[in-house]
Amino acid sequence: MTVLLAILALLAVGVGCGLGAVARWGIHEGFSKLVSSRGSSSILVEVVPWPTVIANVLACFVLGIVVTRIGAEPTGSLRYLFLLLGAGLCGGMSTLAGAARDVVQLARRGTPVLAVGYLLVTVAVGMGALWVGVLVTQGTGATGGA
Amino acid sequence: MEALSLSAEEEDTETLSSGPALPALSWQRTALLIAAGGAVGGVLRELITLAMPTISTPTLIELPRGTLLVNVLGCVGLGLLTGLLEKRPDLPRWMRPLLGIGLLEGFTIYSGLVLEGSAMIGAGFPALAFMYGAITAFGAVFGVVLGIGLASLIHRRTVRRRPRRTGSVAATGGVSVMGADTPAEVEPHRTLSSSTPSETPEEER
Repeated sequence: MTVLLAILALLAVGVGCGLGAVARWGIHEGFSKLVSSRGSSSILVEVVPWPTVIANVLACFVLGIVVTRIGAEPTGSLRYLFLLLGAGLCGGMSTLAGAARDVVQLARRGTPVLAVGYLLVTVAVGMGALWVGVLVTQGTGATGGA
Repeated sequence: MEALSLSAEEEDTETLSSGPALPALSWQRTALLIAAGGAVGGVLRELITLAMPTISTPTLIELPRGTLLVNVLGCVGLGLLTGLLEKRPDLPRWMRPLLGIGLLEGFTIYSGLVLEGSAMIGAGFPALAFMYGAITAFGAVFGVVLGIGLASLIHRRTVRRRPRRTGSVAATGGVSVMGADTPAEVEPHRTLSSSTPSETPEEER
């Protein structure tokens, strides 16, 4: 029985993470299309890898909502929902490796200042997005757990 | 001849509609590859996190070693993959969506890092949170650099071992770069060397 439950937990993470990864790719594709259709040529749009930032911020925002609604360490069946949405969906949508790769590529292209700025902004903005998610959920008075 | 030209046009529109990222694979296949890679990455991450539990109570918080290990490992892996794909444009097209976007980028977790950092701050350990963030950031960037370095090392070794095959590879890579006046040929190369999506409009104009 415990083995089955463990497999169920892993399955929840796997399904959520797969969905999250596809969502992240969708954001990337959508952003590329938007930029190419608008034909923008601003340096901030050209150089900064916005899709990764958007995906990471969105994931942190959603995680804030999830944590507020069902708590960071829920028990029982809520635990699987948290694994599906928190560790799975948000974990798959957010990516540290992608951000680190972007930083290194920025530095390699000869924009080290942008690279360091991107790193700092990524850390700060992610934490901000998490708190906004928490506050928004608390503001609507929909706190369910913990 | 008419049929030929038509099919060429169709190929062009397909390339455009699937976005500049992956001209060779249909978007359905790409999405499936990413989903599969992401699922495997997520399960691996969960297993590592379960195998390395850390205490986090309001009075005592340990450095989340599991998350840190996952993130640094994933960054080394992604750096390795990025470097290899840059050096070897002949590698199969499914590698980037399955291993890169899916497996490795899904394996590493930024939201978990942010959540743990926020929990540390909430519990009154802002210095620890800052330290954790700094270690992860340094480890991640260093990991990618290490991965890219490893990739070029591996590439150099394979070149030495099999001079004929990789020589032809280098030649095709060079052609695709030099023939930069035909956008269709540049596209895959640009994709592999990632990742300014906004280069497209200039070429279209």
